Amino acid sequence: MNQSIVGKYVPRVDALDKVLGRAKYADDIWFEGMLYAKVLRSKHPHARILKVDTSKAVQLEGVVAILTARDVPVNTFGIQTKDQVVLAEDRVRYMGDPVAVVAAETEEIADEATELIDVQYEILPSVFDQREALKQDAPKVHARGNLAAHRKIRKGNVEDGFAESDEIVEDTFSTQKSEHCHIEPHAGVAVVDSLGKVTVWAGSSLPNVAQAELARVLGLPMSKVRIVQPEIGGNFGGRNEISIEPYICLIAMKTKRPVKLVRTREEEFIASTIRHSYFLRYKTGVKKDGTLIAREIEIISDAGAYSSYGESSLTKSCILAAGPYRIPNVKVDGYLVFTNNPVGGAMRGFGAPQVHVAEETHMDNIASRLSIDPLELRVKNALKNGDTTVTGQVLHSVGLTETIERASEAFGWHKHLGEKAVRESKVRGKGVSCAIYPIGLTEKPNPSGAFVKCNMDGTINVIVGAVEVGQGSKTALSQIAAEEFGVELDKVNLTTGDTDVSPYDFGCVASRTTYTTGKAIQIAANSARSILFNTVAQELAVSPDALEMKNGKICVKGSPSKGVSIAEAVQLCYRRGMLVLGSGYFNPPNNLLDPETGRGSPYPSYVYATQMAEVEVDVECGLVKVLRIVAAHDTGRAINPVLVKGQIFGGAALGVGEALTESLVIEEGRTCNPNFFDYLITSIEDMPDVEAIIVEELEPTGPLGAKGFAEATNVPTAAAIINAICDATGAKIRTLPANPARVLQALKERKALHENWHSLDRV
Amino acid sequence: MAYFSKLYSITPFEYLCPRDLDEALALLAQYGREGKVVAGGTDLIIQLKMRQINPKYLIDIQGLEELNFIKIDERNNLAIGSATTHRTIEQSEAVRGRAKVLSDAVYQLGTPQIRNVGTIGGNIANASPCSDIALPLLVLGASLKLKSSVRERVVPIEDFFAQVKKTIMKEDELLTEIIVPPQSTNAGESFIKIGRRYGHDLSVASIATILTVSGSTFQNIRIAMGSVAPTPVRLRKVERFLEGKRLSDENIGKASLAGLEEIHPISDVRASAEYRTEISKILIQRSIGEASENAGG
Amino acid sequence: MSEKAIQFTVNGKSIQLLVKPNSTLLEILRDELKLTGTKKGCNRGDCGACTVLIDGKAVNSCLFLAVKANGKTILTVEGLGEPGKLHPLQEALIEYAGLQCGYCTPGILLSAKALLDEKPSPTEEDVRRALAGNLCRCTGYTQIIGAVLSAADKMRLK
Repeated sequence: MNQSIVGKYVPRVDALDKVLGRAKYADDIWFEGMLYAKVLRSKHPHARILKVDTSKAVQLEGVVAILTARDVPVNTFGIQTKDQVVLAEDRVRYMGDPVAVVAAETEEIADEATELIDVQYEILPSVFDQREALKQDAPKVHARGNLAAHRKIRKGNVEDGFAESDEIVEDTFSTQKSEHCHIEPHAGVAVVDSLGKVTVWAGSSLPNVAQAELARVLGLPMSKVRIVQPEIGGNFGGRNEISIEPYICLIAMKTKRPVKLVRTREEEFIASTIRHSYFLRYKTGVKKDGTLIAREIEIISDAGAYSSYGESSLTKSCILAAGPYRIPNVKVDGYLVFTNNPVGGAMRGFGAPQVHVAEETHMDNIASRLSIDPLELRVKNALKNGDTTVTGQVLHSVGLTETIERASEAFGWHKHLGEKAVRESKVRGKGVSCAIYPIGLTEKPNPSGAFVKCNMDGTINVIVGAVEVGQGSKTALSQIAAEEFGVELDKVNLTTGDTDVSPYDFGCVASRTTYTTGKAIQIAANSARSILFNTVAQELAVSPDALEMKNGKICVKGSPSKGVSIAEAVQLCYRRGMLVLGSGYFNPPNNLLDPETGRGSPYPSYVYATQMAEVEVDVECGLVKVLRIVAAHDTGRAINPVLVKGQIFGGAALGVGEALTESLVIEEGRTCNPNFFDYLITSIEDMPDVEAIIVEELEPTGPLGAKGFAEATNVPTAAAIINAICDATGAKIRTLPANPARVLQALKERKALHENWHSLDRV
Repeated sequence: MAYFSKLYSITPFEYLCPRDLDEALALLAQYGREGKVVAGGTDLIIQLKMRQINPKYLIDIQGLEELNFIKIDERNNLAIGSATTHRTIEQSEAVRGRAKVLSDAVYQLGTPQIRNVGTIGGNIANASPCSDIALPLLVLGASLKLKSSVRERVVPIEDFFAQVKKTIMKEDELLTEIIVPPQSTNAGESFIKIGRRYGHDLSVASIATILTVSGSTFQNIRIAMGSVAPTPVRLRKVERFLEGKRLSDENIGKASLAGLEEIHPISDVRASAEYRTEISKILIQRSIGEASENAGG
Repeated sequence: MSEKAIQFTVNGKSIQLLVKPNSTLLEILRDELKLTGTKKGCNRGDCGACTVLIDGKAVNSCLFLAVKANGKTILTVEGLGEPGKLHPLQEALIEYAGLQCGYCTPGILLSAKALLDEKPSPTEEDVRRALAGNLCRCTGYTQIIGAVLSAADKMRLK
């Protein structure tokens, strides 16, 4: 097929409104008579609620309604286990657990009223370290105990593997709690109509899933709950669950007035889900020549107070923990543990960044122990087509080696590093990290649907449940649709994320949208096209197989003059009383893992990446400057290369932040840095030069060969930076973030400079 | 009060906008006790939103022409009006020529949005222990003109800071002018700020140094550090130790140890006391080194 | 607390309003004037999503009291351009994919405009410095920098 629209850069279809300031985000939506809601949250990390006294708050002028637990029809929710509450009834489990919600005429009044609500707590003992929480006598966060899940992978026999190894290397690592920090906070508006149907405008990455959750919480049939997407100001996993929707809906239902809730930035840091912090232990048996023989891994994940995405992210971690390498014997044990910390949820990378930073720094340690170049060690063991994963899945379209080669060439891995350091206290180093990341949900079905409607003038309406969170899905999906019909992009009108109208789509999560929804669009397009083809075939007295769609026309293959335009074909159908409607759905092929061995094919396919970083370390004050990053990513076919690169740059920025500066400081359950002043995300001044390289290892099961790659972009970054710091200084960082104090500490702890670790000509 | 540092709506106040300095001082005399002066407001508004202060009156002096200037006065001092924005100072050739260490500090202050409205007077009067602007002024030997409706006094800046976020200004006094005396033409200057990262940030520790070198010995050395004590602080022990001593790494090293006795860094969410102590030693060494390199003669 | 009558210019239009002294310019722009292009991201001057130009200079409107706007000239993103007549920076952001979710975009546009109005030939260093107060979580800034530099080139050619 002449791929004329896919594979090239077209500007984002939603860019114009955004640069004009006309794009409407949830807080830009306003209704006459609208109320403003504010949530009161727990003062304690673990406590029994004895009494909630709203009497003073209710008397404040302008307060219209105050809701507590008893006002919630079904007071539990949760993406996997429904153990989280809309409004806490008898117990709070973290400092952020919601206790009451106030609706008032203005935001200020609502906020003031929350401070007048008197909650009496009986403080319970709390636990904040997941290893402590595993102990027998630890305070129980949930009645069922603190061990929320234990996932296992068993491949081969690691004890045998260690026995036949020449060297055994061990490492531990700990990663931090970080937060999505999408610049638009969680915000939403709810309206109830005269028939009691609720409509919600609130950014969500998965409106269909949210609709089901919300309907259940509200005690309404799904047909009476509509979720519409306004413009969304970033996701990164932060909108992968319902958050503010229950409150605005309940208040709208009670007061019959429109209700808006916008979280403050402080609330974002305290109440949003966060990335699970992990303790990791790695033990690898390797041959002298660098062949990996056995790998044993232990992961202990801090779930925080509720289940959320804890188990599925832990499962993904376990599947990826051994790294993108061929290893015959692998044993992984992952433990998800409740604590009284903020709730771990979905965040870009979903368990992969944590295992990769541990595993890839561990690889450098192995390389240094064997006196092998770290790149060479990776090339030697890198997964290839036909290899099996730790779960026994046979791999296809593995673009890993090409990413290594192209990154290495662009970076100049084998050349000298840059110029001499300016003064003795600053040294430079380089580091590499490879990565593997899957497409779609782990183990579970996650279909996406699409509807296609052909209009009388040959333009196409495509309706999907996927949403635009900023990642460019609207554009990429429009390109795929345009490609399928052979029409210009502006003949495609894509409607997204309105549950009244859209077919089911699991959501824009797990890097699945281009792959799954794109495929669904192809299937729906095909179904519409076959109606057109059948009609045109009859008209032209040929077989439908003799026809093709090209440049907006349906014509006989090889005879472009013998055909009709799409518009004519649609009208032909109409004259016969037929409508041209197409529908379809696609579910990525995957299956459940065996609970004991982890055997199975949890994903349809994977993407791969190699990132290399050059850093400069000020060894006297511990500051690290990332000078440049080369990021080579196997993305499958790049539907829109410039937007693909945009994802790589954005992912690298997040990776740099989590490597060096981002960390939620939580003391006794209290978040001490709930703002951008003290939680530092990468600013433009700290952003290194990034060269993005696209490797198109086509995915046969994907639409036009595309994969889903966007989360993989921040997965290898931290390890590349940490490895570069070690290369520069010999200091082994084993905790994230590598802030200046930690770097100094690691410098002190490093062994003699002439230990057998790999370094280039450092000057 | 909420259990985490949250932002509230700003509590109501009377807004007073005097048309000239005399009117401002009269308002200050009347409302100074229950009111606050606002210039750019970038620090003040945050304090209002956090309800750390609750003034009944705000007296806006930003637009007063009498407070917006950079000039050389009749005694050859560099005189800067207190309501002069950081941006104006950043772009001033006069300041760069006569007080480069101040230029350097302003260059690294905050973001463009903050520099465009924040003022030198607002920064000093806020008396944050992290004030970067205070350090160059301390080593330049600057003085501050304080005016009220009944009196005027000039106070050396080293006497200005009382404790964390508190100055010696009376309720009816307004900081109107920052006076920087001429420096030796051979003076070498240095301003270094260490944050939690290379991009803009508050200081975890910062330092300003000015000195001359004469016959390979240190002369007229003045050093000040920020973010390591309740107020920005002159390192007098270091100054006394180095005065007249030979320019050498050994002396600089000893000086940095002497400096550690004069600082009292704390641990907070941004950095530990240990880390601040460690890099203070480095900063003292680097700053003296840098200033020595810049010094003429 | 007495309300103050203020007069100022927003996007070329003269506005007269009665404002409460304890309101910020951000609140007035969004809630009173319904110019919702300027965004609230953090409410304390850390993220720059609320950046507007006041007399040509970039300012965090969440930290600027509305009363102080009296007599000033304000430019918000709505005043930068319109369909068919975009500012070169708006065109460049579209052309070079210098935006993703778009929430930081209005602030970025205005900070960049302030830069180009002052320095028509900025270096990359200048661009980074001018946008230091504008946080973006989506783009990694790379394509934004490219867009601003290319807009500068275009504007110089005119």
